[in-house]
Amino acid sequence: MPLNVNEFPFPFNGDTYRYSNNAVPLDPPVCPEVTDDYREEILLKRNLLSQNPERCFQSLPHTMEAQWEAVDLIMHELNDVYPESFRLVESGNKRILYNNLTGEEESFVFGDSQSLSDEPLNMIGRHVQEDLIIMTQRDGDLYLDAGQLCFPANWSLAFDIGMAFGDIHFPVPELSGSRLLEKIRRFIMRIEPGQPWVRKNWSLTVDHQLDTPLETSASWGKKKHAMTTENVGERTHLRVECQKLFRLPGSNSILFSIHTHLLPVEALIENKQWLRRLCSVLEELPNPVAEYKGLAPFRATLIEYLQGKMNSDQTNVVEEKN
Amino acid sequence: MSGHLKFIPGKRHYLLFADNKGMSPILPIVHKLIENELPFELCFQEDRESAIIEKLSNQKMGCYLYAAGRREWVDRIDEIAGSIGFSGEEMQIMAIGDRKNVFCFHCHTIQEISDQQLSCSECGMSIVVSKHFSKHHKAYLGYPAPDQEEGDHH
Repeated sequence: MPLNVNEFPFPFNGDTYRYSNNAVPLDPPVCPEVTDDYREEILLKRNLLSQNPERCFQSLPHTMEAQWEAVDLIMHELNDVYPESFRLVESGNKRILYNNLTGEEESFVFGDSQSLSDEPLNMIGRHVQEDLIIMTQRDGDLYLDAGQLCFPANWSLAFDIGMAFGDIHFPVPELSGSRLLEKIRRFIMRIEPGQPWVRKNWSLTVDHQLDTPLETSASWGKKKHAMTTENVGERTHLRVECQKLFRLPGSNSILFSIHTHLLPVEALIENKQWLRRLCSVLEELPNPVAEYKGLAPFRATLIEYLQGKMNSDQTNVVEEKN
Repeated sequence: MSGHLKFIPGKRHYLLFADNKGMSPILPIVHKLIENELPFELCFQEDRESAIIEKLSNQKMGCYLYAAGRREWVDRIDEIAGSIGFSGEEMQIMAIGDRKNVFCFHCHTIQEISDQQLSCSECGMSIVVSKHFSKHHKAYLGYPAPDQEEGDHH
């Protein structure tokens, strides 16, 4: 959790929410973001990867070139943007990436998969908080052909591997088969090298739990039914994914990175405008979208809590004036 | 749907989809259409999604749709037709083979089943068969049954 709530990537610009192509140019154009939670999240990631390798990493054989491009992009950015934490040494095809935050060094021959114990994307993903997805562009479509995914919001990388963009979004109400989805697909297919984009996606989740894959939903999903007006502010978290899109020019693929941030709803009390916005978005959100985002079981409870906080705030203001 | 396709006379136009497996149930309909001199178009083995969407979108009011073939293919045609605005009264869909492959959300085992709800033979989780299909796995996603996890997800 950020020390300052106002630094949280709050996802709403208005009092209502609908799906849209809300991507904006990424400035600065950098993929990895190293936050105060780095060590804790990297440790969690490593544990998930070793305990559930097939759930957390998938790749098709033709993605090797794109995987190396992703490694190249991320390790250069780590070296350039976080010089105190990372250092990249290049000599011919040899590379050494020093990670001062974990005390590790990755030494390998660039482009030679035999020189790594993991696939390239699975190696570099262990050094960043982001989940990393590679979408291949072929036959006029985008396919999810590789990914290291430890922190999914209720979806399965193992099921979605090899799937076309439209099919991936089949379960999303109001988006599946829509003109908007087609517009977004075309937009991604036109992304140019060196001109990355970013968008925010959001949902609500119970407790500070980043790993909410479909595979274990039968266990973490139960918690949604235990929400009361007493515990809902503390336990429900606003979950925001900062999703970045980069063109990898050599393979003409897309690198799609997802950095997931969590903030307990009660922390919003410090920012009245955000508190009010979240409340009005929840009040107005169409039912199918609320169900898809998994917040339907506790929506009414949370609205009641938020309204209570706003009302008590007004009372305080009146008292202060008196 | 089981049994056979029923001939519905008196429509302005007929659009027919069939694959290898669907040809034998669709042929009696074709004979009837020819016999009654009704306009029709037969799309054989068309599995490009964009072509299916285009074909269905270009139909005028009063078009009647038949589709017969392997389950995942006709299910997709059914989905697309529904999203374009075909109602249940304007089409007949026949899936050949009543079993389908289902991918377990929990342990990733793919198993062939015929019921809509089952327990995974591998991990024992109770699963419901969704319409989310993977061409890569050639299987439908089996997701958590509501008794395990209320009111959530696709």
